[in-house]
Amino acid sequence: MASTQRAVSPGAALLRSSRLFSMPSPIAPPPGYMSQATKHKSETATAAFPTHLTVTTPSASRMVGDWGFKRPLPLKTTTKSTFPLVRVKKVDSIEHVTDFQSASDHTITLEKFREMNMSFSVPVPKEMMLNPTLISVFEDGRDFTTPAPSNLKGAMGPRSDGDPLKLRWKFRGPWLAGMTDGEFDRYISKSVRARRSEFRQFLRERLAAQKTADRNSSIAEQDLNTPQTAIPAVKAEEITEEDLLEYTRGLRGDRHELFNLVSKFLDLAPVSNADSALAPGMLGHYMPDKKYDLYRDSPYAADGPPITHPSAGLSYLRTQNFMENHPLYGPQQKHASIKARIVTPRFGVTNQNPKIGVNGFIANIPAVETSFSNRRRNDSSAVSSRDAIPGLNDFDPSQLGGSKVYVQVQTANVDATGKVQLRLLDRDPETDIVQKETVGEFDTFAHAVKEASQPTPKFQVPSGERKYMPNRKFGSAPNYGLGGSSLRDF
Amino acid sequence: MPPRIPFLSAFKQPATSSFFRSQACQFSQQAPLQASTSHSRSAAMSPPPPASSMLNLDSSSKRGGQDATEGVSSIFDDFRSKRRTQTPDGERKVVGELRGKNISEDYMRQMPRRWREGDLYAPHDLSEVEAAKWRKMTSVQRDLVDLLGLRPLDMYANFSVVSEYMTPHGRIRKRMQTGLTPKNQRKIAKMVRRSVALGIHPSVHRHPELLMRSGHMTPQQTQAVGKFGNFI
Repeated sequence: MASTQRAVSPGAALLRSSRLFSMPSPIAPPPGYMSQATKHKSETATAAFPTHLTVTTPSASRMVGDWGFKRPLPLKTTTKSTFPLVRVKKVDSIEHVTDFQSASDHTITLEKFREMNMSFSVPVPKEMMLNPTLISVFEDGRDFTTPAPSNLKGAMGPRSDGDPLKLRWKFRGPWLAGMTDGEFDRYISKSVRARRSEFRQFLRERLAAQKTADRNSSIAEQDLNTPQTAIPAVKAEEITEEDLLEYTRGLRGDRHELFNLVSKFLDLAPVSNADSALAPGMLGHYMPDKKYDLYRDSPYAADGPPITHPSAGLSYLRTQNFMENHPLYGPQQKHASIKARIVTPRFGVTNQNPKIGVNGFIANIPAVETSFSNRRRNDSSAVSSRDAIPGLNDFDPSQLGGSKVYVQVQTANVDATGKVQLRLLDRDPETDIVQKETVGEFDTFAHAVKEASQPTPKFQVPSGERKYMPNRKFGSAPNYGLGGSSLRDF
Repeated sequence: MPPRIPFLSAFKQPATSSFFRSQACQFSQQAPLQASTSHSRSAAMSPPPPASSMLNLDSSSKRGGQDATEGVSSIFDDFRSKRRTQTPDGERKVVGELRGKNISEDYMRQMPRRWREGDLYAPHDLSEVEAAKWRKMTSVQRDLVDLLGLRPLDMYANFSVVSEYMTPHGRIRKRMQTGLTPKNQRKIAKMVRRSVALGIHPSVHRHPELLMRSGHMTPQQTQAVGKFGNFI
């Protein structure tokens, strides 16, 4: 277009293409939940997502401090790091300095995340966590923000499991379940109260449409020959004040219908109806002889819609259903395990769920019973979680660099505060060993030799505990239960 | 329940003396070690014929009774050692575990940050500099009255709230500590004064009912630790 390619002076063109002017303004910081309202916090902790642009420069320019800004950045602080990554908070502050800090935290985390080949999926409700059907956030029926007819067509497909309008991830109104009382009061007084007359008009239109439908159906019942198009529709202007008052009174007794109307008018994000709509105790809130459209919850109803696109721009992969190939062992059933850090063990000063740090993202242990779960402490079998994952229950100071565990990540999704939630799976010992061998932490051959040369333990089941112990070996295939000594003798 | 004694050993030695001996062993550190050495010795010896020991029940201590006693006590020790495994130093396994737990807890006290799912961390976040920041008490940055939509003047009877905005000496907390806006700070101050004036809240210290429960409310991280830690 001609208007955008307007001729500018050389000086202006230079300025426009310069780094100084091409810096985008920072996005809003992560909603700090309540962290700002607490007494224990850190200003310098890594934020949940980056808000500023990361700037880099060629190494030759870095050596002279040239990052493309008004003044060179100090060499002492910018030349030590391996990668030149800087975030500039203010190009020119009032003290005549460039306010910058290292941006390697977010940038390297992004790089590590990309290495995981993770795909983002629509959140799965808790009751389906055991065997979830993962749907990519980029699917046509999910990745839309406005209720346009073309979008609805995709959403209304055979696998549609809810109100197609509620499957989108962006809403104009807030998510009520995630607001504090103060925020809710402010929202009502600032945004909602001023729209009362507009809402009355909205109700008039609804009532007019309802009346038209009622009249049409009654006429159709009486006389089949009259075409419905011949009858003029009831207009909103024809609705009298008395009619509207009567309708409003009826709505007050019908909470379900009222919430539907209000949430449609304000375009509220869906809230979970698991407790209200289908619970037997709430049946009193439904009008008798009336048809209700009860949908399953929107995927974002339980924890709120994300503040960004549900992929957060971190990954554009649609699925993880691809096979990795190993140079020796061939195609692998599972993806390579990821070495993760046990950031918080189970029993610290305060007991809590252990937290696993996967490539810079904190993740919970799987919600279902896995090898991460807390087993009985006096479990005599060799596979209690304490032995299986050292450092998971208690902090292990003897581990240089902290305790690590190899994990399998199933999927990722973005929550209402823009944080990335990784869903971990149970560990797969075979995959772990393959990965350990690949990175040189494990020698499979030496391990096999050691295992074969060990004497077979005597078979004895303690009288008190007669149970099936699958991981205990009382003999092995090569020695046919004869023990290691016999192998050496023959 | 006394240990089950096999048939042969029962005739070797009066059961009472061996039982008391092994009971005494339970509380001494050295005795099990001796018993385990004597066990191998007694296993090598052949048992005396049962009929002869039946005849010499009262004088059994003279003729080979020592070995038989040790034999019985070793059976009891065998039975017992399955539950209490020992390290070569003679220390019980449980003791070592508890000591390790104390050490872990001491380390965990140095890492006060409560991580939430989805938090990001870089190497810097695991450093001691950052840990010190999370341990320090800072002022609240957000106005809790606005955030929670409270009406302070209606809450003068709620001594938990009143106590939150008072120092232990009964003074009203200042704005630096409460993090309130001037408007809400005035309301909160009025709430405290009203509560004290009505005699609902003491003017010199915290409310006694809160003091009564303060043991449960003290965060574990700031609780005193005994000389040997919490676990041993």
